[in-house]
Amino acid sequence: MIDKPLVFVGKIIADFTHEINNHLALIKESAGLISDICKGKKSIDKKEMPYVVESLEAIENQIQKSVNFIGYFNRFAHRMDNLKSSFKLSSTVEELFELLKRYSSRKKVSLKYDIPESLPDLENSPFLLEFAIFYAIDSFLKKSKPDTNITVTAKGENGFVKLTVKYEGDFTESINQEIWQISTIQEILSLTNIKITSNDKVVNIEIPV
Amino acid sequence: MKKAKVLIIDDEQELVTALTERLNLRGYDASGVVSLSEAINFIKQIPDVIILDIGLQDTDGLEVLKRIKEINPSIQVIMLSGYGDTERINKSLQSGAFDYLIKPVDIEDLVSKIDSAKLKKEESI
Repeated sequence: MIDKPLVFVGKIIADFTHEINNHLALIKESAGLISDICKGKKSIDKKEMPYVVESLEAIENQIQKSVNFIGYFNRFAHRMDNLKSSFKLSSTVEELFELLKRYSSRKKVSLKYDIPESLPDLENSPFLLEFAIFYAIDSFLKKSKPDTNITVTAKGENGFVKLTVKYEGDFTESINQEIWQISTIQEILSLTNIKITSNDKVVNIEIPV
Repeated sequence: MKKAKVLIIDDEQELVTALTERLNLRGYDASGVVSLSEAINFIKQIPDVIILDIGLQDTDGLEVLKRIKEINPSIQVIMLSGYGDTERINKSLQSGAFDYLIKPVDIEDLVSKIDSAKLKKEESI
């Protein structure tokens, strides 16, 4: 059972390192180009100047992108510090979406969310909640068709926050990877009081306030 | 030996620009594109070597490799991978890729692989 949260963390780390590798590749090539242009020269030719300026801008932009992305990853890592803590649902979903962007765009599936800022802060396990949302998204992505959507919405109701993960589109017939059983996820979530149910294209998650 | 005609296919425009310019500064005839549709036109001009990102976001790099080999099997393809994805790297080598490099690449390693790939292309003709 423990393997499922580990698979989730592994997936996030793999995509994160892949993305950071891409950021570093761009920084390295841009810096390398400036170095190639400047090597052995006292001044830069006018025609080469745009390459230098563009490369410096690319380095600056890429570093900022990396800083933002590392920020999400760091926040995610700290979600595992305690089994119970106070957190905002919107920031949890935002962070998970940023970290899953590469996975979903590879499948050509658009991830959208609409979480009202007015929802109360939650006292629960942010890590296991992200795991539950990941389960929903992953089970859809494994059988999704290109140019489809996954939407996460939430509302407060009778002392609960009810979160809905909905797939919009058709499924493919060929599934090459194992889709986890909902009963396994329910068993893992029994460590908390988060409840999860699913049907064909909708996963519902209930978190007590 | 005349330096290779190189095509770079990667979806990061800035990376393509920098890598293309760095190869041109080293005497190669390099061009770069960010999509498969652009790449098809360039492939018809028969480059010696194609540098192909295995993890293109809108198209699977392995599928692009197969298309290139169908169009012209003599074109040598060096795969670029953002991570040590052994399975995909092995698949690309089985599908006819000349070699692979892990990002971020060392420009001298890349240049050395391009030269070897061009030699292989000439031997295969």
